[in-house]
Amino acid sequence: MDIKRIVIGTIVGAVTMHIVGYVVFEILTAEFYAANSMSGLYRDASLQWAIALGEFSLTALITLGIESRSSTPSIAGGFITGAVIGLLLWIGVDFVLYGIWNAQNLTLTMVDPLLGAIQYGIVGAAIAAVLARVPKSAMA
Amino acid sequence: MDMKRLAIGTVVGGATLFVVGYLIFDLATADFYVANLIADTGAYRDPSLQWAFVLGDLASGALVTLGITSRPGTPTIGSGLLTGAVIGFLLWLHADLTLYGLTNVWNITTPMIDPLFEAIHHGTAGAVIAAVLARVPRAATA
Repeated sequence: MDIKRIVIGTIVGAVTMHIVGYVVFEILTAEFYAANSMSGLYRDASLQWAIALGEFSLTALITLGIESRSSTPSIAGGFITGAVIGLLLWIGVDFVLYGIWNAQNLTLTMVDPLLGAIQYGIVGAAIAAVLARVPKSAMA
Repeated sequence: MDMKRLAIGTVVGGATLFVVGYLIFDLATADFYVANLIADTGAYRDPSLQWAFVLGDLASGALVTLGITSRPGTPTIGSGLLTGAVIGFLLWLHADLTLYGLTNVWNITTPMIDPLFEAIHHGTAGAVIAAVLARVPRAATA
């Protein structure tokens, strides 16, 4: 495993995820989430440090997914890898949460993974675009 | 991609996640999660929806199976456990921190501890998936 490439991919992915997440969830779809969630559940001001830390965790996973493929990363391959991880991840998380709590209705539970797939697909494409330009170490 | 192996791994993984999830989260650690709720949100269901857990566990089982089958060589129980644990930990650290950042439901203890439980949860599923897939022959075209 090439740690340098994992670190670069994780950082690039986290920055991309934060920007895309802001555009998708805080600008484009904020009203949809508010309309399909329990009132009083959300913080007035979200904790950006917690969200950013979580993004590093997930982009490490996407980078590992891209790096586990034998070929040189491509933008299309990175997009598919990121989208598949995002879709499966948020189906897994959203439906478990839907089973546990009343905070979100079924519409949000079904739509959120699709938006997650788009967001993570873009992140995967950005990671792959950068990693395609980073030479692999001789040890990897 | 070998769809037969993916389907087998997904079903085996989903079933394992459901059973182990019940043991970990409904029996062993239920008091921990209640103790770390921020009171009076009224967010938790009573009873929980089992069909939603099944669907979520199948998706997570597919993700762990993809992780295991993307590695070269025949899966082993040890590598399956490691792959599942890494995926479970990173996945739920992301989800828990995001939910902590957005909602009033949990205090900070939950997003720090829950990913460790999920690493055990998904690691067990990964070990079972690998044990089963090691006995399933690869398709000639995969």
